Amino acid sequence: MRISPAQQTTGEQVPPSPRALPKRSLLADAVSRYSMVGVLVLLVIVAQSAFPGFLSPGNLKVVLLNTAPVGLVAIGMTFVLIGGGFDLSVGGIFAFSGMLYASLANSMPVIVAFALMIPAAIAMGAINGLVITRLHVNPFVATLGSSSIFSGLAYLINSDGAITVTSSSFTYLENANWAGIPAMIWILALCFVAGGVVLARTVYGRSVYIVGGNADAARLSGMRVSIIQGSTYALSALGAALGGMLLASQTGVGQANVGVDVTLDSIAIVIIGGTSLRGGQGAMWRTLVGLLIISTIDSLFNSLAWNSATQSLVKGAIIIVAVALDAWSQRRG
Amino acid sequence: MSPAGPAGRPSLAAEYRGVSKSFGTTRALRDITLAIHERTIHALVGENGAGKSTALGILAGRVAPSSGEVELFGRPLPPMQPREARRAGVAAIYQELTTIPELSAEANVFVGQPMSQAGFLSFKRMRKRYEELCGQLGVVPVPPGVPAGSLSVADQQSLEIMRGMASDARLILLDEPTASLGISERRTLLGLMRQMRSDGRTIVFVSHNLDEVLEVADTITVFRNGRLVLTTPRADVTKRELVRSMLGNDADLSLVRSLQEDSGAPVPRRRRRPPGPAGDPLIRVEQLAVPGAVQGVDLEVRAGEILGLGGLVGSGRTSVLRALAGLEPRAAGRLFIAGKEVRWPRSVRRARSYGLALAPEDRKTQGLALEMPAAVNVVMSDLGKVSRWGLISSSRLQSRAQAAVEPFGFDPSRVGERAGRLSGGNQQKLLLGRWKHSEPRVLLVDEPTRGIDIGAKEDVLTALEDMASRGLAIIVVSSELEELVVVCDRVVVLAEGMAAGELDRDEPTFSVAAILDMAFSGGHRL
Repeated sequence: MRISPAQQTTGEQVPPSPRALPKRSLLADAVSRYSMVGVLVLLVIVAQSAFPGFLSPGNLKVVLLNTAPVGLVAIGMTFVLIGGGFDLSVGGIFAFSGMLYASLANSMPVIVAFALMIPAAIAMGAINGLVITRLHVNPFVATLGSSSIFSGLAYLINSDGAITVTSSSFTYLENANWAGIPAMIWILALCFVAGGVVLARTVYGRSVYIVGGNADAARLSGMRVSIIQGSTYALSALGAALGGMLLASQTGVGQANVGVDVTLDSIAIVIIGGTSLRGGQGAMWRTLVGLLIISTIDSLFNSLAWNSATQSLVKGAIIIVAVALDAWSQRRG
Repeated sequence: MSPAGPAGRPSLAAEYRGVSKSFGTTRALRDITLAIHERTIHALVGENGAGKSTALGILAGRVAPSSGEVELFGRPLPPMQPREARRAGVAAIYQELTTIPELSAEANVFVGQPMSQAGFLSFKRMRKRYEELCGQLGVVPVPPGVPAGSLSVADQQSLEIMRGMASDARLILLDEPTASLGISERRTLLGLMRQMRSDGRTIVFVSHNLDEVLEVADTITVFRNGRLVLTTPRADVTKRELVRSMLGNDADLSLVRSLQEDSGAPVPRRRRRPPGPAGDPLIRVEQLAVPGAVQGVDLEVRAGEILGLGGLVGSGRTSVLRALAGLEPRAAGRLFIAGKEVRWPRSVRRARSYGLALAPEDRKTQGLALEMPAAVNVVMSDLGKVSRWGLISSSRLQSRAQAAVEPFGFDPSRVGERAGRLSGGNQQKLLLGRWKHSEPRVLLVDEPTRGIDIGAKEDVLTALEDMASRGLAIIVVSSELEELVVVCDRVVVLAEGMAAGELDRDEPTFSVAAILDMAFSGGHRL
């Protein structure tokens, strides 16, 4: 019998392996964890040097106000993506909600219209959720279809695709300042904090992560997988509706054609922040970072006076790169 | 037995020279030097995480060594080139299934090696070859047209093996080839390995089953902590020596000792558990039927009792567990919990409301959220316990998870790690810890020790015994019949979806041999 030289080695000579100190990997982890924050800082520096007024309070206010509506949509989208789903209907819901809100506000007090919109929005999302979890329709198809339905409904309210609101209190949010900061920025900030707390600290939020991470394991642990997954669509519909209502308040007009870019932009914000398309991974602060990155880029584009075709090209490329980076880091494991 | 090489040495199929591999800070392999001779069967053994699968992955060109060189048939293998390895004549059959669920069984066998003529697939030739391969493997022919995803794990494993056989590879790598096979398929596969050797092929395989290793291997290499600790001809080593060098000296070997009894002789219970309260069973099943899988099975388990379900793969063992867990919507039968009849559970939540919980066989796809921390995977059975007013307390989450897994021998300082990074044994401990965190009344466990190392097996089995002695009723399915004999109070043997008989620990015939006898004799001896 031939044997290799190692035959003489016996187990007794192996020293006990010390617990490895994971210092280097902690650093590597931190770099990959917070890489998007680094990108944001870099962009802000570029923006500030290209356009020295970028960090002035006045400009920041404008940037944030422009971005607030889609920011609300992205908050809801974060829940859907972490829960392992996908929602293409937010654009349709965004436009339809703006129209519905405007038309309600013309026939009743604005505050009542606002209050009615909340359950209406949740109902829209619940329909998505039911179709996906009960009828087992693929989320892409289900929300692509419902997006078309909601866009159609928006024009059904008014075939011109626009409703002007006469009540002056409709634009209250546009003009109000609370403690010197525009009301809309307050709303955006509050929603981020609330969304972040729910996602990171509550049983519900943790369940969304688990269901997105492994629905089978969640089911075997006794979780209500359908309800948890379905509810994320209600949250994203709520975010989309609030976004549409906010935009209508900014302009004083409900418009049916405003949802086109919202779907792509909101998904892009969440993904650029580093939340995974595979579900089970991500965080609300990441969505905030993604939102700030996208709005800084938008602001840069405007200060460079790029046309919308160029903007569209660059934005699309950024999204693809962000997803490719996500896939790459996933492979490295 | 091997032809001599140019230098008068036997020719080598593969050779590692000073190979090391690190994953981040983990050193999976440290300075391995090993020669694999042509036309031999070479077994790699060791605990989980010892480095044997990494060593195999390097030969397959799937893992790049951090340093050192690898040669295949005398030629250096460029790292990370599965295609080069294949061209050099290597076929790898991995532990994780690589079947493509949407493709037919037959198409899966010929993935990457289709039979064709002038670019057109030769369906007739492939069908003929497929049938030959089924015959050689000695399995009930797997229906060729059925999508692989709808087949059982064992059938899919058979497809993987057939894929390796269909190739003209000279070096075949097998990672845990028998882990999901039933006893008769195991025997056939071992025979097949010998046949492949006499056909001039070389086989390197990783296995946790030392009996198989000792039966079929020519040379055995033991890994521990990434080091090669022993390479020896089979004839020069005993099972006990192998286990010793796998574990080092400090391991608790009580299970190992009990497993070393002749498998035919009765194995004494390792620890005395108080007998469960006599009287009414906690759970009673009458006339359970799952269409196509199980028919007319009766079971009862008292609190504090461990019931084993024995039988061959495909005998309906797993279907019984799945039906009880609420995963078989078409299951029918009468179910009594603590003497009261309840509706048969058709959903997991209903089963949970009866106090029935399943630790599934497939840890990765059904058991764990691999991207999430270990702690979350434990407490997910009841997040309410680590929260107040719907808010999760991180500190309580941490401490509850630690408390739940510690009894299983899981290092509590590791509950923050991602579940996907843990070894199979540790993952299994998380699954059981989950049902420690939120204790059911009846715990259903499917293959709790599949693919985990001996040290972890000991931990897991001891923990099951502890859970039972605190009043749980446990139903265990395992292909490791020795384990059933070691831990179970009773074993119900299934064959072809029916109960073939029942064995009680108090009977003198309680043994692996008796279980096998019933399993092979079919569902006729009640």
